[in-house]
Amino acid sequence: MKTKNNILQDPYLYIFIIFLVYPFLPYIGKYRSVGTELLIWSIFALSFNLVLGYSGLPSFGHGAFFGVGTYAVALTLLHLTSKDVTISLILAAFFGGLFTFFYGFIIKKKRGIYFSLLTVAFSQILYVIGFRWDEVTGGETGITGLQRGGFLGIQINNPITYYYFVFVLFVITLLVIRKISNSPVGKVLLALKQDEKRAQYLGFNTERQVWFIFTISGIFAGLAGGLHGLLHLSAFSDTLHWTKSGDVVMATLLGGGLANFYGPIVGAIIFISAREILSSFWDNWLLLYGLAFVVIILFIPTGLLGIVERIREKKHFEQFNNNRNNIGSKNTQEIT
Amino acid sequence: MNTTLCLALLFNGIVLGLIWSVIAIGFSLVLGVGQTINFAHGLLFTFGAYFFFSISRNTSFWIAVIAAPILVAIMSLFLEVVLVRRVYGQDPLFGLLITFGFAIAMEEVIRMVWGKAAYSVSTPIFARGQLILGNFVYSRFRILLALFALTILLLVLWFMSKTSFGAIVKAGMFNSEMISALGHNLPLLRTLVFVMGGLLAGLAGVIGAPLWSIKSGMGTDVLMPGFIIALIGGLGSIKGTIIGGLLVGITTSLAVLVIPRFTDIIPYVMLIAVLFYKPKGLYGEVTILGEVRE
Amino acid sequence: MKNKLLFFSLTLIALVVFSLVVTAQEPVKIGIVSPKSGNYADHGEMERIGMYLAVEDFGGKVLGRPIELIEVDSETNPDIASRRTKTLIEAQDVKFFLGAVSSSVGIAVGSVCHELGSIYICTNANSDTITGVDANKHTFRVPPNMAILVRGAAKYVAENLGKKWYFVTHDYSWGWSGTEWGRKMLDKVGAVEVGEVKIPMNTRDMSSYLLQLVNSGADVACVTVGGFDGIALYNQMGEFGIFDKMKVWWTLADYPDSYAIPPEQRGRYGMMEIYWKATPELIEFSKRIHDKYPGAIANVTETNSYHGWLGMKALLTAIEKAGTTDVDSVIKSLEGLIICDNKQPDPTYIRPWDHQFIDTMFFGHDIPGAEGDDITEVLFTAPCKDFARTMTENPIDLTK
Repeated sequence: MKTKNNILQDPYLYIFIIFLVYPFLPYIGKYRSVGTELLIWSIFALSFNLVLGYSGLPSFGHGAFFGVGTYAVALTLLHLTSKDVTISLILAAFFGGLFTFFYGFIIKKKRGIYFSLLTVAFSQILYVIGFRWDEVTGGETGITGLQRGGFLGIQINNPITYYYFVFVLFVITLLVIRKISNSPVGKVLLALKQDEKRAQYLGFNTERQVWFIFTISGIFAGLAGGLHGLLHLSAFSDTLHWTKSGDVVMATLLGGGLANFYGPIVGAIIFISAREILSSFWDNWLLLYGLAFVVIILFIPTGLLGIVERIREKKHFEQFNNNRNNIGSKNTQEIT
Repeated sequence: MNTTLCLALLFNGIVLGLIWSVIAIGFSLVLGVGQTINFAHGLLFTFGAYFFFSISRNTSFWIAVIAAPILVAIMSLFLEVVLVRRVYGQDPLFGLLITFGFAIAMEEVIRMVWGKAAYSVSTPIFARGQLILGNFVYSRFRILLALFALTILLLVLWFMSKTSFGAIVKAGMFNSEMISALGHNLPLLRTLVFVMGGLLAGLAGVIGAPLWSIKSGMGTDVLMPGFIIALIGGLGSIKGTIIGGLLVGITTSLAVLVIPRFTDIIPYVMLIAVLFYKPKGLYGEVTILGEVRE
Repeated sequence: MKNKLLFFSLTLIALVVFSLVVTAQEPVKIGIVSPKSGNYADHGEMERIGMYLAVEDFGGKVLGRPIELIEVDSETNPDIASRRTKTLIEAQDVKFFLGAVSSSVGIAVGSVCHELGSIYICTNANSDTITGVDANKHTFRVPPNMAILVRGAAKYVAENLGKKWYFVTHDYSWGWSGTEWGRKMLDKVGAVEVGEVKIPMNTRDMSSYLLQLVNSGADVACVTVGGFDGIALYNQMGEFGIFDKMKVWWTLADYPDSYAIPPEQRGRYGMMEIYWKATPELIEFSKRIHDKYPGAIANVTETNSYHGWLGMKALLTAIEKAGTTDVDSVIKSLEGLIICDNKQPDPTYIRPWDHQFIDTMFFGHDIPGAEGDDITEVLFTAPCKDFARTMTENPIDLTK
């Protein structure tokens, strides 16, 4: 199977090329910070999809870990070092991971609706802290006026250099997350998603896998948050609010995170662009925005790439559909 | 510390708790029976408040009290039949997102119809003024609203414990598959409970409108406390929700004396404490832990 | 292979569609970063109307070139506001920005504009820091800050309303600054503090705080609470009969909020940034606003619309005066600019060293039970220049 043709068929190559030349494309190339934002959201959505798409865990509080990363960067730049962002970014990923580690410990046993409920509650706790604790987080006005400095001595102050800096991290993230999802752990998670009990009977410690994947997801979410903080050179509590967690879930579902590994990236790109375009055209754009949620859930829950997959391979789709039904039936089982 | 003040705050906590319970109870019922996290509950509350505002301004206070919740109930019927019904039994995120999206869209509709500005509702003439007992001063209107909330809560409590429909609803919370097996119509039950949740949200809106002023985003502010109270009380438990509401109301009211800034974090701290010591919530019959094993 | 192609084209389509926002380049572009959704959407709507009217006054042209207003929705969210501001600068090379209702958005947009070298006129945020610690060369601010508003009223309050003050503070930076200035005035006007209660942001139920206020034995409640929380507090004060027990002084009374309160529940005193009956020009202006926006809660010159208008007028006047759209020249001509036909009793002056607009403020009392549009009695007017922070109090100099 490993032929040259195979490399050309790898979507990864196209994603790589598009983002590589993005700043030099006509028209859209000028939207550099949007391009960077798309990369950051792609990282975020990929990390989120480890939890949603791969493990089938309905988390609705991932915005909190993103926000933790943003604050980690802002606070270290403010209090520790403002010359170099290396430590800040490492800390962003670390704190993202730390929070998910502790949190994963609490909720690793929970599934279905209870998992959602608790993730919402947890993100809201972080939001209240971020919003109220003015002395540390700046409260409503947040932390602003940071300096980007350099990364290991390389200057990343220029928007273009920063774009490529994020691009490199994006590529690394993509490779790492792909590695994880193709690894034995990833396979166990897929088994868990399909039928957790069966996976347990086969001797897998599913709780530990969930805990592990949740932590990994938190690390990358924290990293994405840190990069976002560096992009805007600020941190605000709004990122922690539960309504913001909805964005990443929607982006992931829209692209087809449940069906395809690359779904979250497509979703993030379309979601962010659509939001920007809609809001610039119509004052009451939120009406369409909200309806889009409804339409996507009702008609294309498998997302855009899900449709693509359906066109390509009906068999694959059926298998996927089974997966989805499995998630559903599992919930009803739990109630008993 | 000033005893009158402490007593006044305690009293206020009870009043608040009763009002919060009305908000939380509808959410809790839908969560328990429909297994749906209804993020549109706040929106239904908002619509209750706006309907009440418009109707009471154009007709009379009493017509508004009755008509507003009914209109909201009709709206929630629509929401359930057209949208929520399709995602029962699927990934819980679907139900959550579909109600969330609906709430975002309809909130915009409110802005388009009623405008973006905030409004307040006049206190009806019979309820104006304050209750003054020595140093103790309290709004008379608020006492009446608390009594109204108490009546609603007692009615729901009676309905759930003494009628056969209530028994089925309770059973549905405990084991929805059994309901179908026993020959009851589960989809119908879910619809009815959802509409009941909408009616309660509408009633809460009627209480909230004159108290807290109205604005399109007001639902988002009450959604989270309602959500937390429902979890503290135990999913779908009426008694638990009322006690949870009272606990939250009293502690937040008294906390103003000690830590005014973090009063709104108290419900969350209580939730964590409850989850650790009573995983089912105060009176829940279903464990919040939702473990796969056993 | 087919799906890969589809995938590729999907991504590309998304990117190309996005580029459609790009427009022509001839006119003078002015970016408006103003909330269309979120907490302050109503205020955003009003400030934009003011801006349109100012552009209308200039015949839609500046330096003979057409004015193009590019609006983005700040969603009352500093994060999104700064992203959209940045996008406009990068992709459309917008040099001038106006807008922002909340201080957080104002500070965020200000720092983006400073970083990328565009001018920003903050139209409706009152926080001290925008012209204080967060001040920068590219940011100007129209409404008076808390220092001006509180110090302008303190003497009158102490002499006429009462000397035992109880502070009601919105618990975040803006609210704190109101109370802080109030405290600094205590000695100067011979008042005493009898307590303070802090109200967290987004609090809907004020009863516990009001009970504390009722039991405090104060003569005057010095309130710095804004937004929807402020409306809720005002309304519940009426419900608890606070106005019968003491005088209530709002350090910043966003007076159109009073129209949202039922007439019988009104009764506060407060410092207003503008009042619609102050001059014939303002009454005239109210009619124009009403024609543009018949859905408003009252047919008056709203604070936000007035500041939107004034900010836009200042910017366009400065561009005309500079004769160019070069950012540095326009900053130079904004600094020290005096606007005489500002519809107020006294001209508006832009202080060069902290970029603060200085004009007149109005202290008023909401008459309980008054119906219609004329509900506030103006007790006195005060010139902002006598109360604004001096250079020693606010040691910055943006002219350097």
